[in-house]
Amino acid sequence: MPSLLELQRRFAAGLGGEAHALDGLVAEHGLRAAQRLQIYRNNFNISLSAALVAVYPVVQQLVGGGFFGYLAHEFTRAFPSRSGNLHDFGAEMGHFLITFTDARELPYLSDVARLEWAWHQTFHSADAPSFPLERLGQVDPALHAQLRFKLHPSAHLLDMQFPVSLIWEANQVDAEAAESVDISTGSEQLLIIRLEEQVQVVRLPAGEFALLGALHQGRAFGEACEIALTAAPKLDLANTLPMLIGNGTLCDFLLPDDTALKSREKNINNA
Amino acid sequence: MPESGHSSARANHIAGVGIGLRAPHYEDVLTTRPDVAWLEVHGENYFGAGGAPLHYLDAIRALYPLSIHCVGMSLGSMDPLNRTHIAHLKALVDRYQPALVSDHLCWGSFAGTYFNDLLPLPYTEEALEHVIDRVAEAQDALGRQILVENVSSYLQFEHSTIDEWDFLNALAERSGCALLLDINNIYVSAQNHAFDARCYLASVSVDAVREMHLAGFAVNTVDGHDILIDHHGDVVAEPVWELFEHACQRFVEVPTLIEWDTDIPALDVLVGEATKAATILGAKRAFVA
Repeated sequence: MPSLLELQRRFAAGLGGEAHALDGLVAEHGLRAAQRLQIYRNNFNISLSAALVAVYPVVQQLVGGGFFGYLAHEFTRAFPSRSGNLHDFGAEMGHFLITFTDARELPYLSDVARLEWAWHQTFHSADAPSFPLERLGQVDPALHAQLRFKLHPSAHLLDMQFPVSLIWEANQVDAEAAESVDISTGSEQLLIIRLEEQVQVVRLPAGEFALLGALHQGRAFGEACEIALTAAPKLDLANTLPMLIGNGTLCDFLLPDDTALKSREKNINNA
Repeated sequence: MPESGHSSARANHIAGVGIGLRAPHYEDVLTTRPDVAWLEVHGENYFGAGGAPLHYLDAIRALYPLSIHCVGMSLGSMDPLNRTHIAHLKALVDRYQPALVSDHLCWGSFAGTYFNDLLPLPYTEEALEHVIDRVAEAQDALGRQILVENVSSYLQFEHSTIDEWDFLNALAERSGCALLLDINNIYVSAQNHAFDARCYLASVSVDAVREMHLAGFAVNTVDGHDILIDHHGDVVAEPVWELFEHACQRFVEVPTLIEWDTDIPALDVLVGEATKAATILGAKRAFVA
């Protein structure tokens, strides 16, 4: 008689493809052990594939349902679920597709998957209170360069090799009659963010993307501006900050003292 | 059967027939406020930090009593209890104060790999001791009693020595958990393994049962042999209604849920099923405005 550990080890191997993993352990009653195990393997494959379809509808649309089933199966073998919450499953799809040679005719597929995973993350991420404009008004303008602005917690910045937002838009359920997307139009820099309860996919000019990227890394505003101006010398900084605050992309800021305090706390916690 | 020592379990009392709340029905439930007694959600769908799922649940929780049903605690796994999972659930329980919190008598992970399915346990002394410890650990971490549900199964282990109903009774008695009796699952397993569903019902400890579930099943034919699959994608089948009527004689006015998870129909269809169940349950539906 197998221990519970041994039984679960064999069952897990069976779900992974060992057809006879449960032979001798299971009452047959008209069906062989392998056939009964097959029912569980089907359920497992169907439910994980369905979870991937829910997160990657555009990838599925691009490759077709049949091929997606195969892709989902191969992905699940390479990157098994590591959580009892299926919403956590599938994070590595963009990474997986880079080396998935069976889909190499669609070189942009990995970028599409990265967009869709960011969309999924953005959908479930934390809410943020509105930007504390009044508090900002009380800050001495001489300190502005030292402020550290915080992006909305749902914000994801993606540097894409292909024009995936166009591909993504053309494959939405409510898209107008499909227009073909010229993938040679090249790279794209995207912000995926939830504003007013809606997940938005925004194409950013290089300067704004560089600015947000630097702020996201925790750089002070002055330093972030320098980085942004290097990326886009004509960036209109005077209007960019009010716009990012006004549309909710930035949700808070830390004073230089706050950051000093925070890093001290961090050091104490780490001690 | 020991009472839960935690008052939150009763802070939000439920009775009568509820329905499983799923995302396609959020707007409909808020605008039409259907006449069902309570709602049950899958806990894992609300583990995110924010956004639409929690906003809808906030609004809906203000209108209806709530039960939180989980599929991922993996109570029977030999892996250590997943503390991250439990912490997410605890945060949800603290936020919504549900009347009931439940998961299944099953396992779902091995060596950190999750199958996200309700896999069957062998009913042995070893498994019983293990699940008792795990349920107790989960209840301690959550600070409240949980309900444990019988699953549909498609195989039985030769080395099982305990009947499923005795396993459940012992689990409830020794861990202090309550039971969620899924009438459809009893029917499905009884057909698949040729046991008497009524005998199952007659053997389950009356005091332990705090909730019942009803759902639809599918029939798969393998090698000319019918196997019933619990797919939650259809109306409750006639023989399951009959079994439910029978169950209601023993488990009197136990809160009952209509579940539907695949090919989700219009809300009206679920409400129709709930109305039918309420007639059988003999309980007044208590619409909470």
